[in-house]
Amino acid sequence: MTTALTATGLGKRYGRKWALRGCTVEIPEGRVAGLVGPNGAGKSTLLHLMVGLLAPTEGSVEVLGRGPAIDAEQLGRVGFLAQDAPIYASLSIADHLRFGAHLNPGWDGAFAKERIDALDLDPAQRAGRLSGGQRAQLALTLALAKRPGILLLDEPVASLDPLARRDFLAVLAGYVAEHGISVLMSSHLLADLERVCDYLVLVSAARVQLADEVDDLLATHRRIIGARRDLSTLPADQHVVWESHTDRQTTAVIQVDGPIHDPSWQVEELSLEDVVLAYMGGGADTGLYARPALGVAR
Amino acid sequence: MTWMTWRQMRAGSLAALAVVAAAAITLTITGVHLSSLYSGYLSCSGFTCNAKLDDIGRSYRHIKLIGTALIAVPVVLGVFWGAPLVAREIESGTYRLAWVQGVSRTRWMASKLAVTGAATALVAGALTFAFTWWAIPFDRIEANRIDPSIFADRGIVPVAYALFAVALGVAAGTIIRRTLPAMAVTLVGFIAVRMVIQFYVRAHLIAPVHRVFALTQRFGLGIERSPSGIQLQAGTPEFHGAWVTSSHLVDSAGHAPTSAFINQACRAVLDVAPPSGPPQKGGAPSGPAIQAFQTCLSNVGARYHQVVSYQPASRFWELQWLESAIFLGLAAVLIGLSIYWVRRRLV
Repeated sequence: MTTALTATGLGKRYGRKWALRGCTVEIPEGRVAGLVGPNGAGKSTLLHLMVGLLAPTEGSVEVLGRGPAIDAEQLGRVGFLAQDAPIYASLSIADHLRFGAHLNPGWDGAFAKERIDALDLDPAQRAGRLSGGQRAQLALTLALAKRPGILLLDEPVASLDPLARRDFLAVLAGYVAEHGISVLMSSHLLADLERVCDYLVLVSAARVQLADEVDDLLATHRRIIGARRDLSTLPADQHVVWESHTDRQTTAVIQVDGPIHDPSWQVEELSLEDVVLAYMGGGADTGLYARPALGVAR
Repeated sequence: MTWMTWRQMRAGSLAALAVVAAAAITLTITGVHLSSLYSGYLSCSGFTCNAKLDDIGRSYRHIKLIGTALIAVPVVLGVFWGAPLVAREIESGTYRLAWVQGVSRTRWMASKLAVTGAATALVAGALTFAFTWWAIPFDRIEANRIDPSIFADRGIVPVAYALFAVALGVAAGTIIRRTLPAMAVTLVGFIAVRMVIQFYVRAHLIAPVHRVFALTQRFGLGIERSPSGIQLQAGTPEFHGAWVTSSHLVDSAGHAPTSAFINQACRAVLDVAPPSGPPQKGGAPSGPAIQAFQTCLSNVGARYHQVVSYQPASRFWELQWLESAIFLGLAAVLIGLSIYWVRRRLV
């Protein structure tokens, strides 16, 4: 299986503060991967490193098998939608499409025009006058019309209202279903990611805490509730991700590969959001996905 | 990418085009009239000559004044075209759009610089050419093109200044990453470099011509009392068309007159003169004062002569090329720095 994104010991430091450190992750091709984590966790830094807007302080990263932004061809293969969807406010929509056509050898002008028509936008309109949703759609059109092999999106729906968010994700999902490209999309809106993603990368405290298929994550994580007890007595294949104790009751999120046989636990399945929150909320030994520095830089 | 750069500077280039067009029209119309006045003067005879010369002198004074505003064109271009070139993309976040398209950052930068540089050279060149042509009658009559007050408005140096100013703006904007501070740095930096070159470098670009004169009243002589002693100030002669850079009194060994010598040679003047009065030349000295001054002059002149250093008018183009080369060299360094910065150091 080829990989869409490979990071090896990737780190970026600003002054004395590490925005991202020791990031080692491989995302297979053809996935729609969600990149989640609290604000300031290093999501944007990771995406900027992948697209070549930042140079790593240490480690390396490859996108579709090559270093980021090493030449024009590589730039053309990577579609990137930056946070807040930057556009040239004084230029018209038509100008933006011409801009894309001039700067990208693989530009699909018919597709771009079709998209603008479908959005019911006037090509003569100045981009600075667009609503947040239209602006994001224009930026997405620019990123897609260059026919990228992979699409990286940095908080594309964060500033959109629910309707615009739904439309945006529908367009994205439709394009991905049709063309089968790889996607890595950061967001802190887990519900949105749950709908479109089949892979999840969790960044917290400047480190990658978790990276796996969504189905596997859901299949291998359970919430267990029972009478208060010491969790170190759990079987060896059950790893505690998060735990909480009251006087009489113990609640824990565990990662487990097989079934849970202990009848004293009430076992519940988890949503993706539950899994992510468990990893973001706790620092316990989490076995497979453990990263020693969890919470250090917070 | 070339198209994109054009598109982004469209408003600015239209404004510049309007200015150039207005200047060209005004200068053409008035220039034709001016040159007819001048040819009238060239074919004059007898008493009419002075009248015709006065006619030219009185003509278009205001335009001549506006022409001196040419000196501001390079720095205006540097501030409004150079400084925002990269800084605005960073400030508005559009670099995150521009630098992820299928064009390398080097090419992006090269296209932006090429288009802006060409537009800059065109605007500065057109304005300077039009004004240089327009001012030909004045320059012929006054024959002082090499004088610092006019040198910077003529020929090719304005284009080199403008390219340097834009390069300075680009470098400042790239490194500072904010438009307004970059504009301020461009303004101050440009003026500083221009002044240093004009006042400290230009006169030495070619070794000046030295001429030795016997000390006569023609060039004037001043006596100055200062806390450090008494000095003789040789007057600065005006050579037709030449730019006099210095004028000194020296003896055959190359030494300046000492206070002791002046005291002795010009005792009579010092006695007559008010204790800390202005130099003795000019004014309406009375009989004894004139007598005393003549004695002083002949005493000093017996031992000292006047050495005048100047750049002759014939060196106008040589100096233009040399100074242009300096500014273009500086511009090239700044452009190289900007490209390096955009490729390696930025975000």
